Amino acid sequence: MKASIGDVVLPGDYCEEITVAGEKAKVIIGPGLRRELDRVYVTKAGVLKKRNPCTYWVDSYQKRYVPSRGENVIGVVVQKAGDIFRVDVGGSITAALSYLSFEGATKKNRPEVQIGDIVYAKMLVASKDMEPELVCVDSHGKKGRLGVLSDGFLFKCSLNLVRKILNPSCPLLESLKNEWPFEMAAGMNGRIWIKANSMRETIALGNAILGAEYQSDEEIKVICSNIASILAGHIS
Amino acid sequence: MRDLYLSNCEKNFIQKIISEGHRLDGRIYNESRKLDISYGSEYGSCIVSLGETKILAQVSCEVVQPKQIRPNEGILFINVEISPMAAPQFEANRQTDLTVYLNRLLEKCYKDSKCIDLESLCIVVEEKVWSLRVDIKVLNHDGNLIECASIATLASLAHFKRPDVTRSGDSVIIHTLSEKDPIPTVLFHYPVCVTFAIFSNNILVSDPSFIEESVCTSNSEEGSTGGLLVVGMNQYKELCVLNLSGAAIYNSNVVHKAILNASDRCKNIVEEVKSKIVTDDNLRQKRVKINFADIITTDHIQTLCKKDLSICLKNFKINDVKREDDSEMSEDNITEDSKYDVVATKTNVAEIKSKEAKSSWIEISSESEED
Repeated sequence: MKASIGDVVLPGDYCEEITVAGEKAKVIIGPGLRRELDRVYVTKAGVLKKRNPCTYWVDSYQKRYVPSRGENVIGVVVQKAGDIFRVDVGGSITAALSYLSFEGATKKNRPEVQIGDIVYAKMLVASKDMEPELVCVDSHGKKGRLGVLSDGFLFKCSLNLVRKILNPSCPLLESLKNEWPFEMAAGMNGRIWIKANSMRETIALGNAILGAEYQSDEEIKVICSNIASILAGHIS
Repeated sequence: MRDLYLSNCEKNFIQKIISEGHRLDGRIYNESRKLDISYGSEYGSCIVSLGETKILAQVSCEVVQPKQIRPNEGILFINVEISPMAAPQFEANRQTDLTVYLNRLLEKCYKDSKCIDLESLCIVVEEKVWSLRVDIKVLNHDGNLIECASIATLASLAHFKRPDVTRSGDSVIIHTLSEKDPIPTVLFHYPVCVTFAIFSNNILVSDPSFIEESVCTSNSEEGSTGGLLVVGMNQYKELCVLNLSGAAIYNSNVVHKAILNASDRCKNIVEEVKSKIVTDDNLRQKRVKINFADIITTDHIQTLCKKDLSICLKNFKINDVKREDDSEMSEDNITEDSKYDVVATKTNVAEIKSKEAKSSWIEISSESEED
């Protein structure tokens, strides 16, 4: 079926607008779209979106992660195999993380990573035919914010929620940071690691993040202050 | 089935909050998630949801030859299927330990407890009997599959009606539903399995969620101290199944406590199932069309919107938030300048930075000092 921008689309639909636009200028087609001969087909169910000048993608609700290059993800170390760690990032197969790709790591000076630890890492190689590869350093050899995360709590959520809270215009972190101190790391693979001073605060944080999923910006602010007052014991 | 990877921090966190008397989703130890039973357009099809766990059950029947040893009894067959739709670690069309375990447990609960009158399924002795087949399909796995699957089995079996038959001489006529009213299955009693997760050998947690289930069955450094206890009971508080997986219990009080809790819970579930069947029957008699589409259209938006969060404080209600007036927010809270600032540092990375370096535990980058 023919679809246009802003429509709810299903796999198999095609969009002629993109083909027409492609004749005049360069077009970028994002996730959920695929060029097949001279048509652009939809491969995911969702809403067809466009950003000027010529970027098109399908915005869909998704819980399963497909690795893509350059994204920061949170994974669980599941195996030590020779000189690499195998890390489960929620993709179809585990990703490889070399022990040399930690800050200051050498052949003699191995990083201390145990099975069951969680790491915040960047996706270096993500190809459909190869095992994904992670690194815990940037191109200058510095760790930045990447590395092993200790304590705290890890939970899974939909990929859309992670994108939503990482959006600079989302008021969630803005309102939460006023209420109580915490640390968090959000992986683009739908995993969020949180840590606060107490168990209760950690749960409250997770509650606020998950509760924000289907709420508008105004409602998110209300939820945050509501949770803060529950935490402070104003509402019993 | 791929292995399920559980990180140490999840394990430690869950163990710790459970030992402190809390649960991740704000329930108390003995609290179950919301049970919902909805029937489909045909007899014997239903979707049961327990929190976010969803299971579809369908009963079908056919005429077969009875077994040699039981020539006057019908056959009950239970088949459990778990597809990758339920959770990513499952593979399509492959039997896993979990499916076999579920299958066996349901067989124990419904076949071996003799809750179904199999003799009433006989048409011609040694020649023709009805064979009932219960297909259980897991739509979403969020822990406690056993309880959800057993409720689904019970609800669909109790709802199922088989076509009427008449015998004239040697021939047997099977009437269609329009010719003759179908006959309901005879259930002597209604057994239901309920699950308890055992933490550190003495804490009983009913209706465990997926993460609680995986934490309590996983091995810690000092060996496993938890397990899953399945108690099958009917509405007369008679025990039908008792199954323990995980570490051995060395305290009999745990089992007694579990059975005591289970008896109340089972009674409530059976009442719920029965009342749902009565209302469904009444609707069908009024010729109201019932199908699964009703689940979606009656609460259209809520199909995506979770009403229960998997991480929740004890007193948090998402509906309260919506009703609350915005003006109720105390003004000093809004106007107060924040101690922290969220700064986008790289792509996909936002960081909370302290403005005046007040707290020591937040990493302070050099860029934030001018604030």
